[in-house]
Amino acid sequence: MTGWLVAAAALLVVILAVGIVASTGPVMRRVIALEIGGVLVTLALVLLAEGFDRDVYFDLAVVLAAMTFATSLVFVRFLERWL
Amino acid sequence: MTVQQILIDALLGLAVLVAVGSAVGLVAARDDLDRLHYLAPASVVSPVLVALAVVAREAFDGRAIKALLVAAFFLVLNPILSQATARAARVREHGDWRLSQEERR
Amino acid sequence: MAWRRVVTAWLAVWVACFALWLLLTSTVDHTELLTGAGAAAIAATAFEVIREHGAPRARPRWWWLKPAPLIPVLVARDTVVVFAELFRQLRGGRRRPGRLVAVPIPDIGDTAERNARHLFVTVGVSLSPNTYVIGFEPDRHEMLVHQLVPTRPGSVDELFSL
Repeated sequence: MTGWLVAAAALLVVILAVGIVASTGPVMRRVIALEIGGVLVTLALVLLAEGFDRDVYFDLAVVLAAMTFATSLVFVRFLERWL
Repeated sequence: MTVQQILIDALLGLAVLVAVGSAVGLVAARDDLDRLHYLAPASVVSPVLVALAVVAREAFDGRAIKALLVAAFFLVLNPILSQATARAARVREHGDWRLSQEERR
Repeated sequence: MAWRRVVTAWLAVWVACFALWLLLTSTVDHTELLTGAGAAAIAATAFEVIREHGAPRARPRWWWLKPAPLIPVLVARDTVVVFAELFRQLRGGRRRPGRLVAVPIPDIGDTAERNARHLFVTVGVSLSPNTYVIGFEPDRHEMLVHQLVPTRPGSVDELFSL
């Protein structure tokens, strides 16, 4: 196990905890947990890419970084105006 | 263990610690506006540390450029997301994000 | 001439997008170059269409980047401040609520310059964990921020100082 995979495993545990928060409780707390979770998943992909030596995971991480922002913004707009 | 390996492990360890701190803050924070402060360490500090670790290992090749790009996305986009989320929280609670007369006193 | 402005802007965006494609693919294979040129053209066209249909104008000034070298230090300091506050609360300390602060921000230039200034200030201030921007009130020349550990900044410059 390299340091990259150990760090990725630790992040996955944190993502699980954040995922539980994103599934329960008041809606704004869930949205903030979703935003943090999106960032951590992206970082986990980068760490796994280095740990497993897979270039394609880096491309996934770049796309996810942009998509996380877009989807969180959509949720937040809906919550502010319509929900 | 080489100096490079120690540096990489230190950067990764710090990135994970910051992520753990953000997750704890997410749960422990008093209200949504306080909770939003814990988004910044996970979105700003951790990605930069991970990107630096990738650069330390790969120098400036394609992988490092992508890791730096991921960090740059979060650096620029997180502040905008924080603002939008804070506004939504204020509007849902008070009807308007601006300070009310009572809050100004 | 309007068409000259549109073509210049289109070309500038095309060059930036194509450069990003080259950085990400790290290859000069001619098939990839053609695909990248086409993708950059689509992106540049979409950018220009949105810009011409009323996207907010922004005209930044490069001297606004002067505080930028200090930002990593401010981020590191504020990360310690925020986690220290979290640690204090977890140890059973009294919960101190964060605070909304109205920070004076002078009105400058025209709408385009003001939009750019607001963007720069939002990104610069909100990078630090202890403070984030919620909005700008042009009528009151104020910026509303939220701070976890209040420091009562009297101006935008104080937010960018140690």
